[in-house]
Amino acid sequence: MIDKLKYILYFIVLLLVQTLILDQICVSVYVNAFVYILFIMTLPIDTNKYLALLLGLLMGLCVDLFNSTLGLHASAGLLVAFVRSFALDIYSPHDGYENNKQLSVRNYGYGWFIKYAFTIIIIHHLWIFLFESMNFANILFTLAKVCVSSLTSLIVILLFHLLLMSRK
Amino acid sequence: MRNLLDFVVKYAYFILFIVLEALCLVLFFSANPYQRYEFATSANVVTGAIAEKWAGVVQYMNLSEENEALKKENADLRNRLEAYRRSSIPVLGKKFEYIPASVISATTNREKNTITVNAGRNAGMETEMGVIGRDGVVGIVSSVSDKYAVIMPIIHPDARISVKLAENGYFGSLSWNGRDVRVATFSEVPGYVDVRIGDEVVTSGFSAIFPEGVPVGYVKSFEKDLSTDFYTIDVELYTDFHNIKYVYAILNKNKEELKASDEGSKNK
Repeated sequence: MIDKLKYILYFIVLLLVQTLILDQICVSVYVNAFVYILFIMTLPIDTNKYLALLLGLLMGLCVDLFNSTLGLHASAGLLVAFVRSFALDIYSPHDGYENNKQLSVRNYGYGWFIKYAFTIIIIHHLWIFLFESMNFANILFTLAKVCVSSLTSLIVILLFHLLLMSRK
Repeated sequence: MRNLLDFVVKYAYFILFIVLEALCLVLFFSANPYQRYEFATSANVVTGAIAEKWAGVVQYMNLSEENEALKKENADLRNRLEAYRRSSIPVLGKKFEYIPASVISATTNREKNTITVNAGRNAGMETEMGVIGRDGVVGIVSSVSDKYAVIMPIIHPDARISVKLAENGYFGSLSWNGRDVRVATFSEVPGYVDVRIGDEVVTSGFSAIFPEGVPVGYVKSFEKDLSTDFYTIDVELYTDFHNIKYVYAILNKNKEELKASDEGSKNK
């Protein structure tokens, strides 16, 4: 029960940080930070995969409502929820995951978290920026944006992960 | 039939993912820049109210700075009014009315940027109204709810604004290439026109969205396309989209009259 409340709180905090703070900051057109996918990435390991899909969709839809981009982040949130299980498999530690251990730096280490998070971030950013521009003439610009923004997102995600989730 | 059922059961998760994904993408690509469904934009009641509360907190921190800027604008307007009074030009009937609004949320680093403001239908906002700020043109209202409105700024690929060179009146359209928030592209100016760096670019007044002569920016650089003999002009925008707090939507009185007479003639 407490766990569920905790995740509802993560959902709200990450959604508001994304839409009210990160989306309002502009450093350059190359720098876009997306922290909301941290919620989907760190759902408990034993989350029902259908539930994960719906939560990914819901988070994306909420971001879309704030951004007037109906469908874009919803589709990306859904994709992250789908890709998550494959990424978890690929980077599975030697002795596997434990159901009651949160997917966090504290439990599985920085190396694991960065590999896992960065894979998902790159896929998510490619998806977002390609669909947003829908213009293959600008493909180099889009790819440059993916690279710069992915690194930015990784730093922001790691920061919020340590701040919110990796506590005793 | 059984095979089909087996298939569906076996791949249910994958099928659900594909179906939902397709739905999302259909929603995204069928969106019209002038959204009809206001609840699907940032003008909806819930996100609007949250953004407005938050903007209130942030604005409070910049209050003195904002005050200073408004004071300056006020003084500038008073000076212009004074000059206008002294001139002997007769004042014609009021054609345009300005609706003030505060920005509650704005993106600037996206390919399709939006600005949300805290004035909606109740304040007289309508879609396709022109929006200006302290320094010049901001954009066009794209969707409206009762209390909020979403503006499609110049820095959105679907925003096209009819502009002209203040110097000689040659006109064309202004669009954005998605790269630099400070620069938009002015095209369709014929190659025989004398364009100079620093020339002012203003609204043309052809579209009835903006009055004629609202400042937009100045010529930063230009290039002539030799095959078509048209200029592509980079315009440095006056409006700083990073730092935009107040805007005014423009209600065109003539447009309403036009609409009314149009409907009148249709009814006959």
